[in-house]
Amino acid sequence: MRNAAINELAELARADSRIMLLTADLGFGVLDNFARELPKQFVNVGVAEQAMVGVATGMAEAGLLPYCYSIATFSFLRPFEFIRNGPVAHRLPVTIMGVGAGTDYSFDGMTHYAIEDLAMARSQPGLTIYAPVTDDDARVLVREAGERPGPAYIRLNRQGSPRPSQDIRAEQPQQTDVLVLALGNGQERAHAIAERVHDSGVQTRVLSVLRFDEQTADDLAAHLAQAKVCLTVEDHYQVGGLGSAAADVIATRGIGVRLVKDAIAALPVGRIGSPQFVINKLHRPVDDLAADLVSRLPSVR
Amino acid sequence: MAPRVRGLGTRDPGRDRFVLSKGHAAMAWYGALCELHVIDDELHATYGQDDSLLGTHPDPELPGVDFMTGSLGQGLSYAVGSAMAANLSGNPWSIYVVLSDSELDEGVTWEAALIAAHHRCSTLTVVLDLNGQQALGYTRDVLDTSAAPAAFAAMGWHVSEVDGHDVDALNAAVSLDAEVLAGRPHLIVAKTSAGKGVRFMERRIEWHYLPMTEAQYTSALAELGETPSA
Repeated sequence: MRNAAINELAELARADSRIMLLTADLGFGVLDNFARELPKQFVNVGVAEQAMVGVATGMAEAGLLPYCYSIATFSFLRPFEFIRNGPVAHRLPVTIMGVGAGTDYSFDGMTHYAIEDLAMARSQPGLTIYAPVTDDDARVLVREAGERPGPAYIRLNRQGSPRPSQDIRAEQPQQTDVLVLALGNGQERAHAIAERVHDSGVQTRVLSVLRFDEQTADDLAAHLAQAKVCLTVEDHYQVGGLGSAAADVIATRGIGVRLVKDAIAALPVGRIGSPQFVINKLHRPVDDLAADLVSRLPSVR
Repeated sequence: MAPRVRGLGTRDPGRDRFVLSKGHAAMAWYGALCELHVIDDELHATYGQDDSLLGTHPDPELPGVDFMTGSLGQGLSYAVGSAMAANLSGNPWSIYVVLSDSELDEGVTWEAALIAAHHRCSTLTVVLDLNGQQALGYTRDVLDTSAAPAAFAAMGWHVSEVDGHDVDALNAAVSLDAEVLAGRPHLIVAKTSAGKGVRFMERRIEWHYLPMTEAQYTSALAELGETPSA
């Protein structure tokens, strides 16, 4: 997915010399082509993420269109105050690209897990968040971020999902017993849960939330109003992510749907392993969740 | 400094930039903006009142404020980004920064200083307000940053030193020839005394915080040879 995003950015940058790609010394094998082909539009600032965002702010104020690249914990969490006081406060077109959303860097441990980035990003007025699911989504959303004024955060998984995403903004709301809303790589897990629910003869629908912006609450409300039970699936802490966004909409708009959150509750220190191992360790078993959803359906009770 | 900033108060992309990295000195900057008619007397008089654009720290919506500051250590990296953009533009503008010596405690100041030297940001001039004080004490007691000028020089900056209360000396330092800089960013170490000219305030930590009584105000103005305004 990161390659798809950077290749798309390179295509935009060839046509627009204002585009600058900044990295804090990460992106081995990902940024090489961009750097070789567009050396004047590429800056490795060194391992200096706060300064990277500060520099990007100065560049954007001068009319350039900077993209700041690193692992999400480093490009978004560490310089968060710079993002807040820089591009957000000045409404400048700086785009933060964070690779390894969720626990993608599963073997690297908690320092490399971006599992509160959505909570932090959602708090910022005017900051658009993009969460692609597939490589195609990444290409589309990089282009979309480039066309929108103002700051953006693109949270990227290392690998795109093989299955096309069903974008909550593009799909028509439809009545369903169980609506499963997924964030990023949560889509595969969402489908696994939905299949088990479906096996119990319950109607399910899986959609992904690809954007968090001023329209997202309306997108969510339209779909939530058509469901009896909603499950949110995200590789993110329980607080402040997709589940919280859905809960906000349900509570403030008085929508009669039961919400179940599949998110990270525990502090993710301790044993590491493959991405699947870490997700299984930090989340409830898929069968448990499926049974829970079915039990909450009014007709079943 | 303010009169040197070409296009001050406009949003012309090719104008010079000014970054008050020590945002807590905004009151002095507002005075300069008013003297230069970037803001008018009426706006200037709203300082600190309800619904005013003039707060303790500069707001980006106020004309003459290129960057919001107030969180120490953020200004220099903004200026470095502007200088890198200036280098790319082919028609570079100047970027002036006023940096507090307490900002030398912030790690990101050093990140930005390294980047500025590495990327040959020679249109960047930083005036370091070396007053030797910070929020809770004298710099030499809190965190000794006296090696900073030598460290900037070692990183590839051109470093000058002036009496920060000598306006002519400051002006001369800011006007340094490009040949002398030879591609290097310029650090002007301006030695200053906080509260200069008012004996009960000079180099006293508490005057970073305290309001003046009416009697202290009158006495301070008398020492400075001024009379209270109506």
